Amino acid sequence: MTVLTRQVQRIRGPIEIGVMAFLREIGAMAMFLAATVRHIFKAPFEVQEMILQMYQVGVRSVPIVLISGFFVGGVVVIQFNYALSLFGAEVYLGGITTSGLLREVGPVLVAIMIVGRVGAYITAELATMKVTEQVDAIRCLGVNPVQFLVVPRFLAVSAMIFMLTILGLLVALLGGALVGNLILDINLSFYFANIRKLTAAWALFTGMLKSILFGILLATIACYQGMKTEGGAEAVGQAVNRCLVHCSIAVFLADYIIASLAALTYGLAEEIIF
Amino acid sequence: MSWVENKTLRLIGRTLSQILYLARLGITVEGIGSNLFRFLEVTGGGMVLLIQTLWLVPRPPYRLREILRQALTVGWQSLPLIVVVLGFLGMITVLELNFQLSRVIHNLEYVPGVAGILMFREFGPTVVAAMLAAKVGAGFTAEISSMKNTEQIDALEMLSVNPVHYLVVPRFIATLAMQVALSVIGVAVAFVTGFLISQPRFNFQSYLTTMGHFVGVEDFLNLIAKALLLGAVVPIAACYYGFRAGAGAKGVGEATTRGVVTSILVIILLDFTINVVADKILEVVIQ
Amino acid sequence: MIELRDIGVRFHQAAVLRGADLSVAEGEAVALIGPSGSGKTTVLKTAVGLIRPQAGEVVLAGTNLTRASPASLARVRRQVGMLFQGNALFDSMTVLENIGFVLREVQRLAPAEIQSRVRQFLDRLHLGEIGGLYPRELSGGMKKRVGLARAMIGEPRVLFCDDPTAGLDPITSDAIADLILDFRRQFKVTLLLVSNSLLVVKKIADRVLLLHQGRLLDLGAPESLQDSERPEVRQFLQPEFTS
Ligand SMILES: Nc1ncnc2c1ncn2[C@@H]1O[C@H](COP(=O)(O)OP(=O)(O)OP(=O)(O)O)[C@@H](O)[C@H]1O
Ligand SMILES: [Mg+2]
Repeated sequence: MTVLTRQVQRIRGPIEIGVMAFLREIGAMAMFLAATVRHIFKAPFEVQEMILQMYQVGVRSVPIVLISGFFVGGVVVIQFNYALSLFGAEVYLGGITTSGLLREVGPVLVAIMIVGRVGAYITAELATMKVTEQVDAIRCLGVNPVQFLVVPRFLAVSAMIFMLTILGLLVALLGGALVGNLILDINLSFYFANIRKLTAAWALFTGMLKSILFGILLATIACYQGMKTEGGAEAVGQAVNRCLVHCSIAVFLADYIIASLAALTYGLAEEIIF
Repeated sequence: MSWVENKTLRLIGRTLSQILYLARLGITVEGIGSNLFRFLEVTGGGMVLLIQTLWLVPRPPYRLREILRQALTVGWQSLPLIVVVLGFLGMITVLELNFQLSRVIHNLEYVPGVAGILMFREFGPTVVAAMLAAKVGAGFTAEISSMKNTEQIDALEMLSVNPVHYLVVPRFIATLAMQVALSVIGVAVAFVTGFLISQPRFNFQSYLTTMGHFVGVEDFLNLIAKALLLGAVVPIAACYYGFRAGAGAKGVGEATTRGVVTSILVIILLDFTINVVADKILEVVIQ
Repeated sequence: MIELRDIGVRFHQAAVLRGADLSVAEGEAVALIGPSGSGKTTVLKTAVGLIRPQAGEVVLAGTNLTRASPASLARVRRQVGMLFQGNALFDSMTVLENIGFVLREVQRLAPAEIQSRVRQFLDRLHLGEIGGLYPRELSGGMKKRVGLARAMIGEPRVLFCDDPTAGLDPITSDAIADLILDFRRQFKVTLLLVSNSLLVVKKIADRVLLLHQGRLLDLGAPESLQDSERPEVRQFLQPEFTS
């Protein structure tokens, strides 16, 4: 028993430190986000820079979002078809696939596809500027680095993830229908008929809400990791790595929170209705 | 007042025109052509590296210690990420299925079964592979590209050691093994969190039995097979981009992202192909 | 021993070597000089087959590298040592592991024997107690010596040195030059050396080549350099005379 308590004591220290570090990191990120938001409304606004970032992160990601969206739509329809066939409920395939893609798979997929790009174009760039003292140089010229560097990137990433999600959802739905038709031999009019029955506008709303949240999270994490980098060339690599990991976790965490909120409201509605 | 409006309008106009201009730049014929060319070049190069690696795997010397070291690093580095992400994924899957199945079969009894099927057959292996691409693949690319930039790859060749044999083969084997192990662990974590979130409705016994009704040995084999196939993507893509990285911190950073994005894209394409092939095979078997 | 015939190398349209010829006899020591960016490293890497030239032929230790299979390329390289410009020490390995790399991975000797041979080498290089350190913990001069030790421990017949004294003070440079000379005498290696330090060149080389506009010009013995009448040589050496 004493051995056990001692073991618990021994691992309690590191865990406490870990939890504290985690909370401190979250706090610092929230402060960073607040500072960024405050600077959005101050002149001058760096339009050029924002558009450049929208191009780098957004426009250049269009091909990968199109390709991955289409094929993930196909994968989802195949898997749902299998799952529904266990209950003999294939008739609902179109509705379930569409709803699942809109609410869940689509937004998460687009966010994960963009994580890689954000890591290079936001975190690596800012971190390199930081370690080569370019950020200090900007400050010395009397320009606020948050306003000059972070705000345009933050807005660009948030906006582009939202738009790319819309694009990704469209192709994913197309991919679902086409793969269902070509590979699984499902009648398309059949497929489309029950979409209306099972997919409410709420599904689209949930998806959009998620994509906005993911956009803000990814933008904050990427800029934060970039701007807090200290050291040399290895520090840049580490910052990119941390950005990728934190973004992945944030996406699934946020997704879980929204899903459980949705489940809560749905549960309430169920209680009221039934 | 009109001054503000004019200025705002001009700003919006300029923004729109620039967006349109940039969007056009992205999809010119030339742009598509060079993208296609690069796509072919990368696919070809990746295939060559894969074949080289597979050719060299059974050839001595066997660097068992290096493989073990890589496997431990890969596993240890990515275990927390996999546990956290798959933990959330397990809960998300159950919540989503609660919603969907309640409308279709009006019965939540089967949710554990369907969740199990989706985890084993689809989300377990693919999400683990994608997370490994972000965590481990990025590390491989950064390591190899910085070795390339400091002539260490050239030095290996000069010491008559094959860089693919020395660098890629151990990472390939280690990642493959860890991908399988982490997929199993990840699905197990997802199972636990899925059970926890559906708490009042099921006790452990009933959750397990419902799942057992649906998930069979073939689903487990499916998990292992997919993990092996998808696991090959990450080390090959990551090392490939490491070997062809440009100079300096910028080159390393760009190679890293390209490696991650390409890995995830190839994982999706490969997963789709596996699903289609499996579906066709199933059809043939049934007939 | 080393033969380059009419070599052409270009990177993205920019021609770096245009018809470069080079011939080094067995046991000879040749120095290559030329301004930064003229392609000295490129010549060295072409000579050992790390860069495949778009034109011309390379013959190293009797093997034509332009047509060699990977296996025969590896066989040739076992007789070749190379000291890289940036040392290229493996930064995940200690000094001992770096130097013993060939013995371990290629010659597959027993750990005890590797240990004793590496220690012997370290003593010769006056590197005594640094065997357990990692490359990032070493000074520039130490790194050069470790790089040299790694190149020489396989007892090669040909040694390539890419700027072995770059960025070092005169005393350390002289010590490195002595070391190379020492290896040359003991192992009778053929030597191709890149260096812009006239002291080092005079000390080690029998013959000097100037890399000028993608070609190699033979300038003869290092002692005759100052008296050269060729404009490109005078242009290259001018700053040294005026200072
Ligand atoms: N891998 C490469 N890709 C593209 N260009 C290269 C590459 N390697 C060398 N170059 C170019 O070839 C030219 C010659 O380079 P090289 O390194 O051979 O010069 P050098 O004479 O060794 O210079 P230094 O004395 O500074 O080392 C340079 O202009 C360089 O930019
Ligand atoms: Mg050079």
